[in-house]
Amino acid sequence: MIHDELDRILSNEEEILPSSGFTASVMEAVRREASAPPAIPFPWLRALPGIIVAGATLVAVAVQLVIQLVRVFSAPQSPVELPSWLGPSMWASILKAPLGVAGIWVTLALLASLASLMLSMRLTSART
Amino acid sequence: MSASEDQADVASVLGGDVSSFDGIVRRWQGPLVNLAYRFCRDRGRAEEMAQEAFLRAYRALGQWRGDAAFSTWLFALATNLYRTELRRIPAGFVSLDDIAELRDSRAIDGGYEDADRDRAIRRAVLALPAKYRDALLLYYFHEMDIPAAASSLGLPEGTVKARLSRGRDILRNKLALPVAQPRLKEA
Repeated sequence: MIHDELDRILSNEEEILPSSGFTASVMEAVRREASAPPAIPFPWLRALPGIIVAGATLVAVAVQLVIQLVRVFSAPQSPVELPSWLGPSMWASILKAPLGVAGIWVTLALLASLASLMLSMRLTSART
Repeated sequence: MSASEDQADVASVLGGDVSSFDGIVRRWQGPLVNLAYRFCRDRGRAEEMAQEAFLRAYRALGQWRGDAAFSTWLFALATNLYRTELRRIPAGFVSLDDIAELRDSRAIDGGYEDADRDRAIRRAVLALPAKYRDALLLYYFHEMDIPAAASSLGLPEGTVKARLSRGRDILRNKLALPVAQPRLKEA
């Protein structure tokens, strides 16, 4: 086999020796790894319903968006019409609603957040 | 290095005896540190990379099925890690243009030592595009054995040959080294 200059240079590589403490250092890391508790697996089973709902919502929103965009671009002369549930009447009803109604919505939102927080804390404490 | 020793140590580690991994580390620390050194040209970093490779090998030990040699599996795992590490933090290297300049200055004053030039050329391999660099590093690490280099890289031998050829052409052109007869060791 004929070796050219490049082969000669790259074949005659200087060998280095690992430092004296290398094996001990690796074994220490390995023992640390062995004694560490196994990683907690992601709770796919519990998360699955939420993921499905979130995915379905996302798809529904995307479909609605595409439908609205197609409508807008297919009739450029006509003014943009928002769906009734997103139209001015919705904002008017919100703005005209008595303060008490708004308060109920805020309270409900806070209660939902609290329930969500407590549920997650309970699930976490049950695992540990 | 004995394959049966590797097999026995792996079985023992999988059976719960962590200290048996010590035998694997002792047998393979030299090759793994040297392979890492070729990728980064830094002793300290080479040891860190090799340590991480051993740690990953320990974690993945159950995945070695024994259908390939333990060394093949270990080199493939280490090579994969070293390439990722190099992408994350590139090694300091001498660019191909710098080497060409060194060659020219040597021609003028004749004062540039061969050993220095050889060292600089080895570092210049790191300046090649990653796919040619990896093929060259593994080919020369495995003492010009293409099948072994291909196994470590997880690539077909033909691809490795093509990358080797292209990588060597780039180096030769930049360094104005003479071209010899085709010399790749066949499988």
